[in-house]
Amino acid sequence: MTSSSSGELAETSSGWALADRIVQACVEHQLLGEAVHPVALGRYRVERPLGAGGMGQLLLARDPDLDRRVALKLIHPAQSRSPEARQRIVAEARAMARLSDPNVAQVYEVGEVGGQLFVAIEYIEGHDLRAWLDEGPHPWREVLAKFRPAGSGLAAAHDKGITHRDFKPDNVMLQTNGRVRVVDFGLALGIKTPIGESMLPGESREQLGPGGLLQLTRTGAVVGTPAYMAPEQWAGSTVDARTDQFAFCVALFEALVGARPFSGKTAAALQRAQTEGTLTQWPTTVPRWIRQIVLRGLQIEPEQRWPNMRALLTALDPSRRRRRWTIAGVGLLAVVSASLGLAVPAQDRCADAGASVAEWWHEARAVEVTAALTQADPGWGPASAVALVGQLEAHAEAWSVAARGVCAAQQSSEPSDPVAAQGCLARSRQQWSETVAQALEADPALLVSAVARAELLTDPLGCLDTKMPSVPDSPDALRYIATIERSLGAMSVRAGADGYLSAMQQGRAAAQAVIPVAGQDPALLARAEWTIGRLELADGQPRVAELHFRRGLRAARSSDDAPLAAAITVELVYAIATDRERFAEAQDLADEAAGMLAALGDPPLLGSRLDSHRASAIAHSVQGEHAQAVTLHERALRATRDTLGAAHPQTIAVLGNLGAALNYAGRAEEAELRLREALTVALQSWGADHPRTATLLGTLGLSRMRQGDLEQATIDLRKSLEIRERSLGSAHAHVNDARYNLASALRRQQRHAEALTLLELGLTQVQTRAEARQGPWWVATGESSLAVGNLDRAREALGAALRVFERTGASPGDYARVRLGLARAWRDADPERARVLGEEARVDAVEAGSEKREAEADAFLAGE
Amino acid sequence: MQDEYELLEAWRAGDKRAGSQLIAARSREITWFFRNKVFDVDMVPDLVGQTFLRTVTARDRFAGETSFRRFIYAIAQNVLREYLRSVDKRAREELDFLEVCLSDLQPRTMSSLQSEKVQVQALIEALRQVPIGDQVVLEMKYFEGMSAREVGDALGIPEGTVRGRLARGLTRLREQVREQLEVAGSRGTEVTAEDVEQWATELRRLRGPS
Repeated sequence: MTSSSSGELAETSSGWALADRIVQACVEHQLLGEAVHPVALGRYRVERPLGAGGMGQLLLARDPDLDRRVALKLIHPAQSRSPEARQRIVAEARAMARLSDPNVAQVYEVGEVGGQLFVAIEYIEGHDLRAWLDEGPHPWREVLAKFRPAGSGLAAAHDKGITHRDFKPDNVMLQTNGRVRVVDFGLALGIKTPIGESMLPGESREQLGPGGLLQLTRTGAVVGTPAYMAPEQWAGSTVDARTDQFAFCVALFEALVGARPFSGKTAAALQRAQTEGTLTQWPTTVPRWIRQIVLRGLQIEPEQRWPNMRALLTALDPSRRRRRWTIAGVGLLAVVSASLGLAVPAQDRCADAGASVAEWWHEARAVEVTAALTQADPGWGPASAVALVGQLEAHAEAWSVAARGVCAAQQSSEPSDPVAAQGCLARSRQQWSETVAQALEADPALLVSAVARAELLTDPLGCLDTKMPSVPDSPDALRYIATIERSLGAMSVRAGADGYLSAMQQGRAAAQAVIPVAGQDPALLARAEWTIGRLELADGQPRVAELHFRRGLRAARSSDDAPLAAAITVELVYAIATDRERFAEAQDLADEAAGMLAALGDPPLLGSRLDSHRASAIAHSVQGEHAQAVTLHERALRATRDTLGAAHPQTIAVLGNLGAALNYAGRAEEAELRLREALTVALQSWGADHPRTATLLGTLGLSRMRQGDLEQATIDLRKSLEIRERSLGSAHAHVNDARYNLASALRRQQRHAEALTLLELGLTQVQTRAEARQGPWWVATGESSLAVGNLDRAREALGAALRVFERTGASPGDYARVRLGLARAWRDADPERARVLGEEARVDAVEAGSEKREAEADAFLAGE
Repeated sequence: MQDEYELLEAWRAGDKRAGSQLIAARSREITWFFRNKVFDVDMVPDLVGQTFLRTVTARDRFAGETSFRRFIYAIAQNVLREYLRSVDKRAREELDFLEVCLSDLQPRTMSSLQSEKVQVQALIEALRQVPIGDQVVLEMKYFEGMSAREVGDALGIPEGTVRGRLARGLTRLREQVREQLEVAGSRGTEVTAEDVEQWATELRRLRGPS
């Protein structure tokens, strides 16, 4: 039948026939132990298949001339159909063959038999890095020991203009002799560009669809490659050495963390995670300096990654980092003369570039900082010292890495701006020095927030992109800002009412003075507005605070100060959280803040503040999910206590918040335990007359009220109100909160006349400030007026409550309560109106699922 | 085909030469059974190897009353089913060969068979777009040149059923070939049964005899 086949067809025909014979030889090898009908490709004799390798076929073969085994990569026919494609593959294979590197599998030659292109590659025995990773978590030093040679192999290829395009742990072989070899290189051009090359003509990427993308690269049942693909690969745009760098950093992240940086079950989810920068959490067991280095390689824009693999590897070199020594359990830096190693001279020069950090951060400095904090407060000082010294050390390390990176970039003739980069390093160093100088002042009012402030230090690695924000250099403005900071701190450390009020006054004075001095410098303005906003929050003025935060946020953004922008956004969440009408807005903002924090590497204190503020928003919302709020507060407590210790004012505050949330969640007994715990520490730290102690006492009173101990609750709440009135003045928002709570306890004891005195005073305050949360005040006033028989006032107050609810939204239970109250207040004056209200209340009660209220409404309608 | 069973028995008894003869006799056919049904060319030797291995291990469960060809095709179909289930989660639950096409499982995977002839390539790809059960009978006809009766014998189904599947499959196939050609940009008109027959003949010529 085929005897007449033309010569033109013979080539293709033998291509299929060759493939058939290879299959037969492989089957023979598998089932009979040897290829009875061996197949030759060039001079190589095929032995058996070697695992899956993308869209090509990988065979183990023997080279009889040199008596060695080789891996033969058969190029998929679809990839080599056009003469251009064949030429490209041959050219790339030849380029690979010219590359000899200890960390790259050697390509011997490219050949062609019967139309089948194949590449002969060094056969490497051992197992791949994937298998090693699967063995379980490895210490970061071991991970680096495997990845650095692999990266060096990539770099060697990049030097020759070859890109891997499919770097992943599966493509790194660990030889039995310990050598690390990158395999399956380059030839990618023909074999492994699943997206562009295998798309059918006329199909757009959109039509291809995310599922299709995944499946294209699927080999057997394993979907691996998309997880390592850089955004530019997804986009089908130019792929270069920086694409390999991205894949390398995904793999390195995976090896260090035990999970890939971006998670997503589909290609679309993966891409979303990449573009949104949603990163898997970094474990505490791996130094953060490594994280910074890896994250840079994972930037979406190739321009923002490391200039090349060598710069990345230089930064990752642990032998160039300083040796650690410890004092009081804290790792510190010490200078170690650069050990002579395998590095090339250019890298040696760069090793020195970071060494100057030793001039300003050393053992003695760490001891001084620790001493200053301990002196400032023997209670919380030592724990803060551990945290602060750790931060300062990490910062110094990062600075040294950045300095080396800047040096390496300049050595490697990458386009760079040496003046800008050096200036950036200098500014970073200045920012850092100011933190140390402040710490050494040993002023508790400043040091109480030192650890939180250090979270706002800009990452020196930003200098590699010269992204360091400018440092404000107006001494006057800085002094005012420091005064406000000190006031804020003083309010949380100093004992007694006088101290609190005078601190607030000093802060206000400085706040007024700073803005004109700050002028047009956005870096200064951002800091000033941030501190003023917090002052307003502390003074119970969330609306005013919001204005300052918004201005500060704009300024922080325009001065590229990412940490400050994140911190302001976190505070803004709280400013908005108090307004139940803006719950959705607060949530959106909290999500945005979470993204900003993730980009900063999730600083623990800012993260715990965000959790607390989220929980506040939930507690203030119409349908308060109090259980969720409790969970958030618990997480905040863990983070704060781990960072600052149990005695720190911030920890006490979070503990108090948790207590309050437990109250709302109906877990009053647990709340009381937490609050007693907090009070014990608070009495030591703040004293009995401090308004924050009073806040805790008030919350404790609430939990006792919930447990039915009304007598003790009244005592606690009254004391809390008295302390707050004394320390904050009668008009303060927090004082009003205390009034409301005390009134609630009195109302429960049917002491309505006493309660009304407090409620009417409080209502005046609330109305004066046009506060958002007026509803509860009106309800309480109305109900108590009803109880004492003042029906006019009851109708007025409950009517106002209803209007507030209609405007801001309220739960059906709230509606039922108010309508029932109104019905009672109208019963004698307007029975028909009362009946309608009663029926409405009944509907509300049914909707709310409250049998108690439903029964009350029924009783009312039945004539009580 | 009593002699193939004899070879199998000899192979089981340790005669490698017999094994080699059996593989030589059937490997091409079984290779072509899998070639257009995988998503990864590397799987072909593995699946063919599995099929032969199971002829050895499943021999006892097969009384020998059927032809060896039917025996080995029955195993090959099981191997294929297991492979498809391992590759695709959706296929794991329920894999109805009469409903599901390869292109449903992995729409954008190309065949491991590649031809320079546009029409032949279109035919190859189109075969992956018909239900797998129809693909099996169509490929036996087009790749191996088997008659409906031979196909029925090999698969153990009545000849009438084979004819029904061939007819149903051809209708779908013609439409798919037309689409493939359209995508390749070379033809937009109707594809007739004669066209398909002609390109299949060409494909067999390129393939060479089993």
